[in-house]
Amino acid sequence: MKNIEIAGKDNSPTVVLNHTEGTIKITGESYPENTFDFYQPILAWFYKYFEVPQKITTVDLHLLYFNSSTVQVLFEIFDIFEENRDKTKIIINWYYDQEDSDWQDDFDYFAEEFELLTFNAVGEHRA
Amino acid sequence: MSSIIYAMLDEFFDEKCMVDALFQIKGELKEKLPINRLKVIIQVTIELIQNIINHSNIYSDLKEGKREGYGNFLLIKNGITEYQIITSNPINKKQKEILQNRVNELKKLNKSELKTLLKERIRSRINSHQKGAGVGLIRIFISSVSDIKVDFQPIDDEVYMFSMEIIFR
Repeated sequence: MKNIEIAGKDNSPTVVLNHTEGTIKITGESYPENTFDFYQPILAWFYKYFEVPQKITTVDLHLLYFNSSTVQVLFEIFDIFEENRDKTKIIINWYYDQEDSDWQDDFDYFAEEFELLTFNAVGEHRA
Repeated sequence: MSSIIYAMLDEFFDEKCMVDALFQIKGELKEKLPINRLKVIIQVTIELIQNIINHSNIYSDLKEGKREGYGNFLLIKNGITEYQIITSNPINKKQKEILQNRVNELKKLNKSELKTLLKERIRSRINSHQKGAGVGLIRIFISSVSDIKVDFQPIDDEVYMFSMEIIFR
């Protein structure tokens, strides 16, 4: 299975999907005009990955600014993770800016909606 | 005293304009606001400019399924701590009716109810593969800490100027 690396732009995140290591990294800002087109190959990769996943799947999400279409895509991504949670241990690391006093709003929003998944909040200092 | 942080008036907005606008706004406010306040202004700006791009009644189709839409965007600082965004774009009569109903519905809800509605709308969009179920508008209402002013000024029998005014304290 091919790994995917998409370089980030001003309005779209860096995406690194590595089947060999079982790692999924989405980092940056996410408000591409055609958000669904941007994420379509990423969603397709997830479906393929979960046919033969690694024992442990580590997901690192570092998103600061994202549009409403990205929220919808995140719902779709977490739906896929929930459907496949029995095939692999999925660890979701939700990175947030330590200086953002409202970080928990977004974290809780997803963690409460997808209660079958385990979300770890990881504070980081962003320049 | 008020000062203009960013203005794009009587212009066509496309993806590049939005990226440029956000770059300038972030540059201007990054050192002046805590990240949580900056984040709200940026997120709302994204939704509002994408609204102009995608829903303005005066628009052009660009390459790769992209669009540019006509409208206005203004970010102002009022006094020491208050920021205000005003946007407007033309819409047709049918869009006006849909938007007016949505706004009236959202104004009745508290933050918790808005968050529940957001989840419902996202779920319905995923299940029906619809676009534009008002998800961006709900996020704007969730982000706002004060009342949002919405207005529909008739231009003629078929076209209205839709405007939103949002204050951040």
